[in-house]
Amino acid sequence: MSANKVYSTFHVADFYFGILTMAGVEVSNQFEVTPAPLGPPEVAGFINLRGQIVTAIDMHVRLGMQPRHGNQGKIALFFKEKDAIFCLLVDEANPILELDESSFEQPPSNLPERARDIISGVYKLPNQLLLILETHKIVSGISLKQR
Amino acid sequence: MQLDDQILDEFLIEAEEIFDQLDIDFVKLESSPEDKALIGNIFRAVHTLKGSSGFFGFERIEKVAHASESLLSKLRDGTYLIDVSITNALLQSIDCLRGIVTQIQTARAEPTGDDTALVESLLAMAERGSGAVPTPATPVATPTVSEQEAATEALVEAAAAILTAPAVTEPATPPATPAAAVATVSNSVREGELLSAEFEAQKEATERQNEFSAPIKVNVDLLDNLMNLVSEMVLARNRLMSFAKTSGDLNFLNTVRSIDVITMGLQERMMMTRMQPIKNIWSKFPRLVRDVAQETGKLVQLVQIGADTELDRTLLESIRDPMTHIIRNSIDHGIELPEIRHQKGKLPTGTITLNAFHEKGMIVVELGDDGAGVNVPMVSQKAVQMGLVTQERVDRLSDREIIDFIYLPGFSTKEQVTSLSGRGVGMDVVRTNVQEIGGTVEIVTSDAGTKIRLRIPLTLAIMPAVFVRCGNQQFAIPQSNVVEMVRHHAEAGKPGVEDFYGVPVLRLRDRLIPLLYLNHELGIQPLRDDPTAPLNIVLVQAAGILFGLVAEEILFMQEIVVKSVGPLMKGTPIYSGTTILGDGRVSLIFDISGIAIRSGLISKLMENEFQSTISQEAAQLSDETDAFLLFDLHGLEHVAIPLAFVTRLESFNVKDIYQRGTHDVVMYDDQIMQLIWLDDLVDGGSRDGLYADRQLSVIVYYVEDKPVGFVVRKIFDIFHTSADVTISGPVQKGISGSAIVSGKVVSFLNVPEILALNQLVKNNAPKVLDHSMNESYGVVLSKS
Repeated sequence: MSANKVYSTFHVADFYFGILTMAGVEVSNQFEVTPAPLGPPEVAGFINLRGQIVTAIDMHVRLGMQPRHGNQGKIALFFKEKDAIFCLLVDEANPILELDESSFEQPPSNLPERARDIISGVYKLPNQLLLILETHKIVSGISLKQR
Repeated sequence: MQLDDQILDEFLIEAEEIFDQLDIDFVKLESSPEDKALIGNIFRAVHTLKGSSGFFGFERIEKVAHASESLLSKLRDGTYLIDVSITNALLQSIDCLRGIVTQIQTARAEPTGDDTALVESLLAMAERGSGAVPTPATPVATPTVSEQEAATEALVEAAAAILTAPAVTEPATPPATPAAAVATVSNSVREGELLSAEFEAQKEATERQNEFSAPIKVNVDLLDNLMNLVSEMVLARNRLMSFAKTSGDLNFLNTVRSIDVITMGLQERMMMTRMQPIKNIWSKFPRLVRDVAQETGKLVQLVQIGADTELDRTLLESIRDPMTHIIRNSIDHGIELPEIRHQKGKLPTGTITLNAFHEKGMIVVELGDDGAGVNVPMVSQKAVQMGLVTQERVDRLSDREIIDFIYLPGFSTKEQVTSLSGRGVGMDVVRTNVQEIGGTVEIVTSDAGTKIRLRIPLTLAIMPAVFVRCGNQQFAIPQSNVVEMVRHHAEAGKPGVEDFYGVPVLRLRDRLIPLLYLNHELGIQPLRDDPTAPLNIVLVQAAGILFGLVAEEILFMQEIVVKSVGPLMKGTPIYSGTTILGDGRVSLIFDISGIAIRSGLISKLMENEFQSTISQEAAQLSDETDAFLLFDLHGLEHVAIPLAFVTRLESFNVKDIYQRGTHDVVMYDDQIMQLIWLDDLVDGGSRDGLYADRQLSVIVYYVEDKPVGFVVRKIFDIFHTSADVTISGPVQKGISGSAIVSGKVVSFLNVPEILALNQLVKNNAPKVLDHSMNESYGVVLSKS
């Protein structure tokens, strides 16, 4: 019997993504981002999550697109990574899906260059593809680039 | 298993405390060798250690402790008086024990090793006294005492074994060696009982003393967690307060008020749990002073004032090493040998004074000695030797500036590297460590001694900050960096922001303050772009320089809770942290030195030798002085012009110069400004090719409402000197004379003469000219 995994899914531009839902993934649309001038472009700024400082990552920039504007990036997906809290700013939050690992496949080759290193694979859903992101790579890629 | 671990941890903590106390007691004992209570304390401590290590089966500790105990017992019953060699031997044994315990901490087991030599020397001393000569105490009495003791011990041992044996054997699981287990345990119990029997009276007395404030041990992590919660509480309170302002409900307001009071009380007391008296680290210093003094053959006494002054635990840790370093330095470099001190008319025993106190919301720790002071000529010689500075330059530096060299990494005046100092990793580490926690280091030195002042913030977690606005964002500037705040109105007739070699500077009370525009540095569009609006400047000090941060608005000051800036900002060193404002928004806290470094301000200032003169000037500022601007010409260095003749400092490109007849002119403020090449005044001086393709430094002065520009090679800074500087006779035209100012020969410009030379003033010379100047002026006129 193959294991089922639970993913929080969301949209950034036309892409449909999922991250593994572990304890503490939280979605919010009530937040204010304080920008950090001169910081890495992927870092949209900081958010106060009940007294904790959260580093907000602009998924548009992280995926190699233009920075979020207008109605983009209004949803924050919070998660914990190595003792620090981060959040992804995404365009639309979608339901949590429980998926069978047997339908998991390697990432397609037509992905943008910058997206490829953070995508671990893809689920073929009936009417679209769900790209699975690895949160630790989303974060570590930003700090690595600075060196 | 877990229980064992816990017991072992308790043992390790206890041992650590014992060692610390022993260090202090031994040094005390040396000065009062007759103090029986003190010897009793030491004996008891060593005994406790021996007992507990026996329980764990740490044989090495047991043996060494036992040997020390034998020697101590002789001291206790007065067979010998303590002296240096006995103290040394005992301290050595404590060090040995400490080493073993440290290793146990990591290995969780006693390391192997051979302490036979130490044990034997201790026992030999116990047998025969420090030297071969025994003290007058009757040699016959000794065996009797120990015999009696042995007898008592045997008795108590037997009793204890009987008493405790059944209780202990029950839980003891390994059936193979029950006897051994019982033996070990009962051994320690026996000694504990013996101990309590012997010192019951004394112990009771001390316990009664401590009863009212019996401290308990709390895990540091728990305290940190509590601290975080309290910080959150403070923030929640802030939000509640702003909410309450808009509410008219009296009941609600009263509730909020009481929450406010409680939160404040909670925060205050929580802070107190983080506070520790500075004596916690000072307690190590008597031993340090003693050891270093002995090694260097000097006599040193240590005076501690304000040992109860409290500061944050983490800060305390980070100044431990700097203080240790400074004390070593003081003894090794500062305090002279007794003979030399005698020659100088000082007491043979040098004094190191530690003084801690509160001042302006900071903790000041002064470490003073009455030694020889910093050897300034030696420092400058070494600086030249190391190629840090040229001989000519060093001759012109003030003592203060020369002393600054000792902060450079790798700088040491010691010819030879000793175990104490000379490696050159001293003062730079001290300064770096202290600066890291937002403190400063200051040195005051003379041949009567040296005083090093550390200024340290009370705590790191909560600090006051100044908030400024830039665009529509708020930023916090730590108040420890802020010197003052200035609102600068650009007004006619007042110098505004001037350009100094590409750095905008502001003249503030005759000081040139370089400015950084936050909007520009952060790349934030200002909300209103109005060049005539007054400038809001926060004067800050960091990385050794003073500069002004220009913000769009200075908002308010507030106590803030500092939080981490997160792992993704490591490459952006301009923020030191974040904080949450009362309205729940996040605000970034600037790292002022990071901003200064990133902006390139520091390197620009270094290039122009600007910074040292600022600090020097600040030190010399006084009311009874005349101000001059110092500059260089080609072929003539250190020329001074009275500040009364300086309206502005400007910079022009060579391309912007036009020829008008025989004059060179530039456009300046809708006016035509004549340039006067001061180089022409210098004998044999020529400007050909010197200024090609370069920015010109120009001193602007208004003559009868018309601007005149003096072109010079390089402008340094304003300096002050007393009005009665002796001016020797004129050596060349345009110079009224020269004088020695701070060890440099400075030539003073005769501005009226120069203006006359260029037909800019009428022939009747201004009144400022004295007789001799009139003469030279006349000669020149007839020439031209």
